[in-house]
Amino acid sequence: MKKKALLARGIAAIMALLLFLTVTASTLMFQFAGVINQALGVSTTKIVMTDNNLENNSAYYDSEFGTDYANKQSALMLELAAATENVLQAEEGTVLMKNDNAALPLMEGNRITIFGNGSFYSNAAESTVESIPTMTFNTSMQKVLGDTNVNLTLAEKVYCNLQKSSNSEIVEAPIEEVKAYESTWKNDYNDAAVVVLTRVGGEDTDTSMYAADGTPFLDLQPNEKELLNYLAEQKEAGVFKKIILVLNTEHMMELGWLDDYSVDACVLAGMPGAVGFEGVANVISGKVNPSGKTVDTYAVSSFSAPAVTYAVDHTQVWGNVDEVNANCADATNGGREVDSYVIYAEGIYVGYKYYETRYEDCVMGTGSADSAVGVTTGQKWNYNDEVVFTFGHGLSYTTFEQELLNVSYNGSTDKYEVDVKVTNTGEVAGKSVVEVYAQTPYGEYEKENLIEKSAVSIVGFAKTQELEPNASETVTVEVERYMLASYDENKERGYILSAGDYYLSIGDNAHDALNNILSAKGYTVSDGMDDAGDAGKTYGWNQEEIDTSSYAFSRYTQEEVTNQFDYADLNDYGVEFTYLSRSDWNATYPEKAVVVEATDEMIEDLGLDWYETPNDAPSVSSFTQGADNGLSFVDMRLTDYDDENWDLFLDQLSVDEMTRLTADTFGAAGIDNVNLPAQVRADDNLSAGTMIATGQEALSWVSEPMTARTWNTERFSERGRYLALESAFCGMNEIWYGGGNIHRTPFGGRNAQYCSEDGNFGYIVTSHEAKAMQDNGITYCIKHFALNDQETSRESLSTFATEQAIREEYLRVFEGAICEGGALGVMASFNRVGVIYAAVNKELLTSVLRNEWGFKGHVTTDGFSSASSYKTHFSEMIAAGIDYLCLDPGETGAAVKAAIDSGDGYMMECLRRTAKNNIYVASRSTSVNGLSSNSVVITVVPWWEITMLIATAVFAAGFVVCVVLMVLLGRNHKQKMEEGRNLR
Amino acid sequence: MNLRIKSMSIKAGLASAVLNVITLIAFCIYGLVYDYFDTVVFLTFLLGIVFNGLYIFMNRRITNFFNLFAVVCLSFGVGLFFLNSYPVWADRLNHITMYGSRGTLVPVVTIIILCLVTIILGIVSCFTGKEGA
Repeated sequence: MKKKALLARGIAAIMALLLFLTVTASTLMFQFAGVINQALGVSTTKIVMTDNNLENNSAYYDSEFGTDYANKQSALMLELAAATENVLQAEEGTVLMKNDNAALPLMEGNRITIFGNGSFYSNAAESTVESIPTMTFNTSMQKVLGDTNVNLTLAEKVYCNLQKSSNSEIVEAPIEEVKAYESTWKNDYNDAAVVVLTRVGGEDTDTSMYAADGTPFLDLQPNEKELLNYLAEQKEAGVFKKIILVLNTEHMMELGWLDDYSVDACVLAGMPGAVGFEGVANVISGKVNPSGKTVDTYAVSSFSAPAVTYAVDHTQVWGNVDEVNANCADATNGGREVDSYVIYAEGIYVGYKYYETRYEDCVMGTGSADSAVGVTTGQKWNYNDEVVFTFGHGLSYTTFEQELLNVSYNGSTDKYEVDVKVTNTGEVAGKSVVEVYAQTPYGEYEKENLIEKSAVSIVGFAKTQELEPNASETVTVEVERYMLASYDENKERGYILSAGDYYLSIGDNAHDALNNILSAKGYTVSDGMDDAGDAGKTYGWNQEEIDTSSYAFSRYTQEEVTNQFDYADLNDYGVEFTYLSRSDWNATYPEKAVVVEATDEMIEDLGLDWYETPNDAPSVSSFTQGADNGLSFVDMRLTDYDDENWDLFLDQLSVDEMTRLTADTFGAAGIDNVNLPAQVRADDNLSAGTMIATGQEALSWVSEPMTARTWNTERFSERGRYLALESAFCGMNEIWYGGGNIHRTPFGGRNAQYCSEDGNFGYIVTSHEAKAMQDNGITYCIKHFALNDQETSRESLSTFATEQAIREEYLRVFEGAICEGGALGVMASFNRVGVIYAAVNKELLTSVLRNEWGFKGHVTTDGFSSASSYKTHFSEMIAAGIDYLCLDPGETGAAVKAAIDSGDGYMMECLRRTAKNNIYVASRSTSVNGLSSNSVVITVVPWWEITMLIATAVFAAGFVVCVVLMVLLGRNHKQKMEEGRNLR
Repeated sequence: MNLRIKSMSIKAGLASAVLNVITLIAFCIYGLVYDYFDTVVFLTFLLGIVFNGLYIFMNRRITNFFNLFAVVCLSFGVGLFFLNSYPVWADRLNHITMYGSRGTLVPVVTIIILCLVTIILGIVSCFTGKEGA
C-alpha cells in the first residue's frame, strides 16, 4: 500500500479507538449527568421570562442569604453561619460522661500533653470551604488553651508516621515510641494527659465486632491498653495531675475500664465534622458548660445486648443455602442477594430498653431477670456489672435541681403537658435537659398476648435556656399519648393502651427515671435498687380498662391500623421462633443464633415476582395523555394533593415524559411542556454537595447523633434549616437524608448518620429537622426505609422481627419525620422486611406509608444497579409504591412503557401516580423559585454533553474520511502499479 | 499464505493477534468465574483475532484492511467490557457494595490493559505496510 493509504489506515485505527472510548465515556457520563452537572454548577433547564418588563420576584423559598445561588459572597456568608452553628452544635452535643474530682474544666494556663493516634487522625471531616479552616482536635485545643500550652510532640514525631485507624484495625503507637519523648512532659505540659481514642465505621462497613486476636474490637486494643497503663503509672508517679479521655467515635465503646486506668474525666466528642472540635475544646476548657446527654447505652461489654446475637459479624446464612440459590432467580452475584438473614430476636429490647427493663425485673423479682443468661461477669445478672453509662446520661460543671410541678392531659392535642421547674444550684451558668420517661402497664393481658413493655421509654424532653447560678426556669414538656400505646399484634392487631398503672417520670437519665418510678411503686434499695429514687419526680395514674379504640385508626388518615408485617415474623412461615420476652428472660434470651432453613414459601417469596395486572385494571385508553389544559408546573405550587386539577395536569404529560421522571441521575430531567425545571438530588445528612458559587464542597457537619445529643429541638431545626440552605446553594432541591434507622448495636457502620438507639427519640429529632428543611424548600428524603440497621450484607439481607418491634422502634423515626415533620421524600432500603425487598414491599410503601401515615411525597429505591437482579423487579417496585429509582438511567421507564404498550392499564395508573408524586414534591421545593405566569422553562444541553457529542461526531467523521481515503488511495496505488507493469 | 515476518506491519499484527488470544482467554476465564460473560464482547475479541489472522496469513488485497477491522472490533469490545465492568469500578472505588459487583478490579484492569496494548499494536500495524519488509 502507498504510504498515504497506510497513513489513512493508521489514522482510521486511531479514530476508531477514540470513537469507542468517547462513546464509552459518554455513556457513563450521561448516566451520571446529575453528578457532573452539580460538580460543574450546570443546570439542564433554565427559566426565561416571557415579559421583560416584569420583575421576577417569585422567590417562594427565600432566606437571609437570598436566592442568588451563584453569588459567592452569599455562599460564603452561609458557610460561615453554618460553621458557627456547627460549633454551637458541638458545644451542646459534647457529653461529659465522667468528671471525678472536678477534673474538668481545665484551668486557664494549664499546660497539657495530647496522646493517642486519634488526636492526629481525628475521626472528623476536613473542611472543603477555602475560608474555613479544618478544626482538628489538636488545633482546637491549641486555640482554646493557647499554642504554647499544648504539647503536640507525639503528633509531630510519632503519630504522623502512622496510618489512620480503620473499621477493623486500631492503629496506635507502641508504648516505646511514646516513651521516647517522655522528657517533653516529665517536667512540663503535665497538668493533664489528654487521650483521644477513635473507632470508625461507614457506608457498607460496620465497625468490626472482633479484633484480629478475637477480643472485642470496641474494647481497648493492646497498644491503647499500654498507653493508658503508662499514663496511669505517670499519674501515680506524680507526673500527670489528671487523665482526660476523649472519645472520637459514634460507636459505643466498652468503657468498664475507666477506673482501672485512673481516668479522671471522659468526654464524648463523637464525630464533630470539619469544625466541631472547637466546640468540644470549648467544653474541655470550660469556656462552655457541657449540656449534652448520651443517646445510646455504653455497656461494659459490647456483646451484652441481645440484639448482638443476630447482627453484623453474627449475620446468618440459610441452613439450606444451596437450595435457596438453586431456586431463586435472583441468586446472582454469588448468591449474596438472597443468602443472608438476621432476626431481631430482642424484640423491642434495644439499648437501654433491655438493660433498664431487666434491672426493673431484677428489683421486682420477676421474669427470672437475675438469671445467668446474658451475663457479662459473675453468676447473676446485675445492672451495674453491665452498664457504664445509660441513655440520657451527661454531666455539667454545675448542678441542677428539677422539680416536677404538674402533669396534665390536653385532649385537644392528645398530649400530656409536663411542667418542670429547673433551678441552677451550682456556681456556674449552664443549660439543663428535662428528660421525661414513661412506663406503661405490663400485666397478664400483655403476657398472654406477647406484648412487650420497656420499663422506661423516652417520650419527651426540653432544654432550658442558659441558667445563671440560682436562676430558675419552668419548662413544659409535651408528651404524645400515642407514645404510651403498644402494638398488640396478636389479639387486637392494632395499637392499645394497656389497662393498669402508668407513670411519667423525670430523671437525669433513663436509669434515674426508672429508679424514681420504682420508688413511686414502693420499691427501695432493700429490694435491690442501686439508688433510692425520688417518687416526687413521678406522676402516676391508673387506667381501669384496656383502650383498643384510641389508635385503632390512623391519627393522620383514619385508615384502620392493623397488622401489615406478619410475614416478617418467622413464625408466620411455620418456623418456630421465640422472641425475647420480659416474662421469662432466662427462657427467651437469644443466647446463640439459630440457623434457619428457608421454607418453600420463603424461597418463593424471595423471588419477588408477585406482580400481575389486576383483573379490574383500567384500560390504557381510558387515560388521556398529551392534552393541553393550560396548567403550568408553578400553578400546582399551592394545589392540594387531592385536588382534581392534578388529573388535568397529568393529562398534559406524555408517557415518555412521565417515565423520564422515574429515572434518576442524582436528579431528574425537566419537562418543557409544563415548565418543570430539572431536579437535583444528592446525599447526605453530613454534607450537602458542591456549592454553585464556589465550586467547593459544602461544609461537613457534625454527626447526626452529635446533633441528637444536644437534646435541643432548636439545634435539630437549625441543622435542617442550614442543610436546606446549603443544598439550595448547591443547586439541589432534595437531600437523601441520613437518618431514619437506629443504633440497634454499637457496630452499625452508619451510626454517624442515625440519631440514636431509640425510636421515639429519633421521632422527635427528625420531626424538627424535616419540618425546617421542608419549610426552606428542600425535600427531606429520609432513608433507609426500613430495618436497615446494619451494613453487613446490606444488599438484600432478610430481616425478621415482630410487628410490635417494627412499629414501635424501627418505623418510629420515619413516622416522626413524615407525619410530624412533613417530610416529602422516602428512600426504601436495600434489605428485605422478612424476605420481601423493601422496594417491592407494598405493605411498607403503601399500606403504612401512604394509607396509614398519609404520606404525600415520593419514594425512591436505594442505589439501583441492573447488575443486581433483585433490584430489577420494575413492575413490582412501581406497583408497591416506588416513584423513581435512584441512579437508574432509565431502565424502569423502559420497562413500564413496555408494559403500557402491551396494554397494562394498571401500570399506566401507577405511572401517573409516580408522575404526580414526583411533581408534587418538586412543587413544594426550591424548584418553583423564579417561576411565575411570566416565565417558561427551557431545556439546556450542558456544555460538556455538547463537547462529548461533538467529539463523538468528529471521531466518527474522521474514521469515515480516513477509511474512504484509504480505499481511494489504495485503489490509485493499485492502478499505478498496474499501469507501471503494463508500461514495462 | 504469505507470512513476511520481517514486515513491521506483520510483526505488530502478529503480536497484536497473540495478545488478542491471551485477552480472549483471560476474558473467558474472568467472565465465567465472575458471571460477567458477555457474548458480544467475546465475539468482538474473537473477530479481532480472525481479522488479524487473515491480515497476517492471507495476501489478498481485501485483507489489507483487516488489521483496521481488528482494531475497530477490539475498540468496541474494550468499550463494552469497560461498561460491563462498571459495577466493579463503582463498588471498589467507592469502597461499597451497591452496584452489584463481582470480583476485584485486578482482572478487570488486566484485561483492559491487555486490550489497549493489543489495540496499540494493531494501530502500529495499520500505520505500516506488509510490503515494507
